[in-house]
Amino acid sequence: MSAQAHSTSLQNPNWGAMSDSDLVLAFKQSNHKEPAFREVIRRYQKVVYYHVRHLLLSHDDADDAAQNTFIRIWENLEDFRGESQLKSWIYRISTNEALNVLRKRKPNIDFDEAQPEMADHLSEPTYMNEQGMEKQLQKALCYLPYKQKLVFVLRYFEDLDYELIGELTNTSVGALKSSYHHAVKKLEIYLKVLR
Amino acid sequence: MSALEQHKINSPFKADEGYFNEFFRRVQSRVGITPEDLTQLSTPVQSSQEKPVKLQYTAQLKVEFGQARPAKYEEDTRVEEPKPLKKMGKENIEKIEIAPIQVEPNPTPAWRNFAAEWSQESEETTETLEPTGEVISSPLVQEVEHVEAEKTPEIQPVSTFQPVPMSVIPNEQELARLKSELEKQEQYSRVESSSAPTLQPAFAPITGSNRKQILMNSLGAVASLVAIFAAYFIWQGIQRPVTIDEYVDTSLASRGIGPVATPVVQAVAAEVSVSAALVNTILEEEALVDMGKPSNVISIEGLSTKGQRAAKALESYDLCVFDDPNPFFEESIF
Repeated sequence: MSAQAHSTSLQNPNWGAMSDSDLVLAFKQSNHKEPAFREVIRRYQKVVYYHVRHLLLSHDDADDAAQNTFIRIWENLEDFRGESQLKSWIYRISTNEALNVLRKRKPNIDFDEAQPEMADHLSEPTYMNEQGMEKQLQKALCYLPYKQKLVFVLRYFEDLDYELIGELTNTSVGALKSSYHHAVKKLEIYLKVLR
Repeated sequence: MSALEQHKINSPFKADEGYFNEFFRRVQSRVGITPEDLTQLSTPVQSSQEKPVKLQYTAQLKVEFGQARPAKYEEDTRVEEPKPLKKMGKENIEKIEIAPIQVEPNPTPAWRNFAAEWSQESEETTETLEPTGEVISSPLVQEVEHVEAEKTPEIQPVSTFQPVPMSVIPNEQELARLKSELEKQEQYSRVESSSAPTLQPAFAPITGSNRKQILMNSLGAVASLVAIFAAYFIWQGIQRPVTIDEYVDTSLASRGIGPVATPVVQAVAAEVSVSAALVNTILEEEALVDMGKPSNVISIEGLSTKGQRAAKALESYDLCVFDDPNPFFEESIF
């Protein structure tokens, strides 16, 4: 969008119809910072909440991580250079905030290993449908190494394409496909066992 | 495609709209902006009518160990639930007041009027040399002098300048007087600057720390060398101990001498084997000697006359020993 067209659109902005890149540009202008940020929250709060909830399972932890994510966005969006997509950047922040919450609970956590004890959080009924198969899958996910779980969650539940996941995790598409394939195989076995 | 992908299993997590509305407001208040409802964002906002909102930034004076980041914003306004919540920790926020900056005059006289010093230096550098060696000032220098004569100094000198009251519009006489005073002041500053010391004082406070830095750097280099030597000796110490044979082999090899020739070793081994066989034979013979009564002795007891005669015949051929205590039997046969 040209500078003139951009300034015209900001005089009467329709925040809901604005693209992510325009939203970032609007945020960098002091008189549009707050409405732009509100639009960012509106657009991404559910995405962020469900993403960290899949990783942390507990509603309270997910709420903390999601709030911290948006505070980080408020602090750092001005410095966002647009080298990656805004969505990928927000996902990366939310993943890191989820990791921070886990590290606080378990300082020496090894993310290359599974954390089956996290399945205890599935007993909390907060904002959760008590469907058997869905809960079983979440329990089985606790038996995957954290990194593999992350790839599975991003691909299976959030329908991100491999290129975006690769951007987020700094991993090649081939490695991601292989990781996802192995995760699916393991989960099928775990689901059979857990039945 | 696997079964899990064919029959997709949805996420069990489902938060209602009320939670997200409340989340939306909470994030805004934590960040410090005017909280609006989520429903208000559905209509286009008139940016020209918006008032610029001042962001409230507060700094944290106390640093609490264990916090993930410095707290800048208000406390979490989430409604407390019966279970203990896992929070990052209570954030102590205090406002600080920054005292207004008070400008004090420069107490160091040697640092005054840099503009005059720089103008003098620029004069010196712009003078050009004719091929004959005479110094001729360039037109640029004259222009610079003219401009600087008209320009008022940005830094006021400390001592002799008499402030001129500006409440009355100066007339021509006063203008001329002002001009002359300015020229005097410039001459004075040039004289001052010619006797002023060079640029050293600007760096004086830093010189001591330069020496200190050099000393620290040299100490660092010495320490690294000591560490390298220590590592070498430690490495030598933890090496596997060399056996005597290996040491001999390596030392001989270094002198070009090969290992000991094998035939000598084989000859010694052969001698050992021969002597061992002899010993074994002797031992076997002793065992044979110690066998007791030979098995080819035939006793007369229980033998018939015919048997006795046969035993006697065998004895004549040294095939057995006939044990007959009766000497008359021999005479009876032959």
